[in-house]
Amino acid sequence: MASLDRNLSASHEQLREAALAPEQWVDAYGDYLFRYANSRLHDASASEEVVQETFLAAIRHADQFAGKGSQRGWLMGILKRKIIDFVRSRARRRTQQLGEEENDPTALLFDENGRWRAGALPEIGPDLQVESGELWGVVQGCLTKLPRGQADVFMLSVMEEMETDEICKELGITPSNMWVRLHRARLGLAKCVGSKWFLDEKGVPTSE
Amino acid sequence: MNDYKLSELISKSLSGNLSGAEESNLSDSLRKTSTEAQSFARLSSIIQQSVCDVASDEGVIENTGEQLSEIAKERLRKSIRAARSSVDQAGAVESEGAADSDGTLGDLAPTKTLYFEGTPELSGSSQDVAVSGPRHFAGSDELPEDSRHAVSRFTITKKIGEGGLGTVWLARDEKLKRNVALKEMKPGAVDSAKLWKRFQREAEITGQLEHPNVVPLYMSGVNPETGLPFYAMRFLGKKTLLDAIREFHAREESSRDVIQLHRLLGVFIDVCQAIAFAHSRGVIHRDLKPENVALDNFGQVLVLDWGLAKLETDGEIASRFALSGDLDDSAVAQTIQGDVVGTPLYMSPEQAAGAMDDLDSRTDVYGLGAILFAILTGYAPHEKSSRSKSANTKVSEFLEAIAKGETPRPSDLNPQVPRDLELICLKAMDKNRYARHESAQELASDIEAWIAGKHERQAKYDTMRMAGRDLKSRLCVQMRQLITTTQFMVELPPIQGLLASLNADDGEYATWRERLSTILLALAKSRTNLTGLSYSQISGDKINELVRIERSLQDLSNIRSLPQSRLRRGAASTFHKTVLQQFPGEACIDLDFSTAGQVRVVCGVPVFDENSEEPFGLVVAEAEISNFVQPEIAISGGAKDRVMVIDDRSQVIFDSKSPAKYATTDVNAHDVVDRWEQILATPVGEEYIESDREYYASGLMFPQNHKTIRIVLQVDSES
Repeated sequence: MASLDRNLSASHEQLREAALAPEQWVDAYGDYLFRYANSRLHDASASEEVVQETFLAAIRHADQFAGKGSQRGWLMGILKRKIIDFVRSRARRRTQQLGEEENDPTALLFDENGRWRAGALPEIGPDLQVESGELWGVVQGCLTKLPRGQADVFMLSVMEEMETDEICKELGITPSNMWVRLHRARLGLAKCVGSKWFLDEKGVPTSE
Repeated sequence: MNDYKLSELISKSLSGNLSGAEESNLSDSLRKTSTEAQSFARLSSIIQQSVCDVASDEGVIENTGEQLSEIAKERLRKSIRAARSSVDQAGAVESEGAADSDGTLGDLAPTKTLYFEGTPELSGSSQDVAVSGPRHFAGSDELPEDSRHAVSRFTITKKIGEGGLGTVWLARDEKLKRNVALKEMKPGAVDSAKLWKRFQREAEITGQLEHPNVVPLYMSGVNPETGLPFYAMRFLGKKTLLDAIREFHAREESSRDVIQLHRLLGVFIDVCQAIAFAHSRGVIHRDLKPENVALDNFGQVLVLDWGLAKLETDGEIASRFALSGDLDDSAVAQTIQGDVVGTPLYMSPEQAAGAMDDLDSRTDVYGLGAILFAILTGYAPHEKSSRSKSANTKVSEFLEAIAKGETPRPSDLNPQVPRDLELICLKAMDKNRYARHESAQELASDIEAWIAGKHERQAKYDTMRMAGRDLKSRLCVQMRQLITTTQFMVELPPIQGLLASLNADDGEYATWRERLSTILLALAKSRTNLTGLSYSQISGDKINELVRIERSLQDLSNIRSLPQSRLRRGAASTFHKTVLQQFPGEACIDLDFSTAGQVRVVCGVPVFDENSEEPFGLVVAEAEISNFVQPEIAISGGAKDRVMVIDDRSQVIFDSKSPAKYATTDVNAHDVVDRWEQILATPVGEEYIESDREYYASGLMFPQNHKTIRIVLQVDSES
């Protein structure tokens, strides 16, 4: 038992040693945190800002890092919180700019009777297999093309796996509004990914 | 249920938000529905799967290749340093509020009002501003006798920056109701007499440099609560030249307009003026970089941070310090070294080499050149090399690279940089101090001249291009006339008459020859750019001229028919053979070098024997190139520019600067200007417009033999 304790404390020691001083964070974690943030926000300067806020918050709450788990993981936890904060403040700013709700590009996918328009999506067989990693870049590109309000809901719900009520609370929207946005995001993504990826595969030139 | 409703169900199902009954209902509906709905369900599920797989996959995120720019990293490091020291400083106050995570910035200071006491005049030595115990004045009736002894009240708003010595706060002057930047010495430094003196010195140097582009000092003094010295200066806003440069270069290449570049250059000239002024007072800034230049949107430019400034021993300000026994530069230099190391991206080679004694005004000229470099490229001069080095390169190695390495070229980072600007930048940043601009003023003048010249050059270029286009179309017309003339010659009755009487008795042949000569003489007289007209018989490989009319190039009115004895006989050239292969009436144009000292544009049309219908010979109209081009230049308005005509082999066959020179010797276009490669490589017929607008080039093609001549116009820089 005693040796186990020793081992435990030894590994704690190692972890403590691995924790870097704030001055080294930028070089050690900066790019990773930035990439993560940018994969969520699709806005380089916003991502940079969020990374900065993460570092600053981490410095202020340095005592909360107990040395359990990696320092990067700890910073990632703060970063995720900061990303949500950022999306929230971005959403608040955007409420002034209306028009996003009325102008819904996905409406064009259906006819007036709510039926799919012919050729709105490429035909996808049931046996299609795709490498997730390969598709990632295309999905990322398509997310930047979605209206911000939709992309944010999709990101929070699917990437960050947040619950409906949490998302509604953060963004200050009703659940039905959230479902509409998420649905439009899925439609928009399907349309965009469909035309960018699957048509490319067949060598048919894409048209945007 | 229509497709739209169905797609909503699919969405909810993907989010795991359907009950069991709804799920089975959905799969039933999907089985019966359209291929689009099925495709949507599959596609969305693939996307969802991909996003879920990758969103948490560190490997994929790691490999996206995006990264923070070096400038962004530097900014992050700065804010971390600032936050660190503010945490250290605020200590207990901060830990109190540590539990909240409301996202407020770490460098927000607790709002508190401080009473500062100070001397409005900055002439005093350090004793003047020493703490005399906190005194708070309630009203004006309690003012001491010396009413100039001012008390100001500043409310600290937030931290805006940090230097080696002190922290800069945004503060509000409650008395004058304005924002100021307040630099206060760091608590850690207060015990060191040397640092105290240096802080004082920094305030005094800044205060004595009174120039519109040097940050003005409002007051200096001591915070009675902490005993820390401080000074208050103008606060322009947080925007610096670095932000403006980033903004400019973040734009798409195409949307970067000239006006923006000129604005940046305007700011740069202001900075040069401020530095020139400082030099005139014997002050060297030594830490010039875009971050140290504050800007607003109304054209105000302030050079900040004179904390590393060096006094030249014989300078005006230095003499004041000398009188007060306060000139202690060597001690300052030691502490400076540590500071400079923090920002090597704009550092001059002599600073990097640590040659502190060698630093003079030309070090600042290098710093200005480095700022210009950043304006032109969007990068600090040593940023690229710092990035290419691995992360664990020691600072000392990096400094060595700056001290010994090559001066970076702006065009390596941005090929669009105008050449002249690049040359100015490279001169200012020359490794050798003696090769740099003599003064900041001279550098400013160079930039001013460039801006002025740019407008002038553009205007010149516009007129030149119009002249060039006009010249091209005029030459086209002349070529066509040359063809028409030749085609007209073939149809003349004496052509067939001579052909038929070639072997007849002398009388008939001579008559036809006489008649043809008379017509051709009249023709040559009416078209002054014709140099020669001839009619020849080709038999086998031999050419045998029957008639030739020549114009004297010395006296253009002198036209004569050559006697039999002077007519050309000999081997037929490729041109002659090509003409003979044409169909009746078709012309062929080429350049002819066979007449010594001349280049001629020649146009030939084959002559067929009417009876046998076999090719017999050819008629040729010739125009000497300068005689051909010169009159058109005069009309087209290109007379002010240098006009050159270049053939397929890149030989200059006409140069308006020296019309005779190129006719006699082969001069290759590459010999004339080093950028001909680009100009000559231009596809046939397409216009070539050079980026710095010095040349305009266009091609004229001869369709029958696919040869081209190029017309090049160059702005005459001397006019």
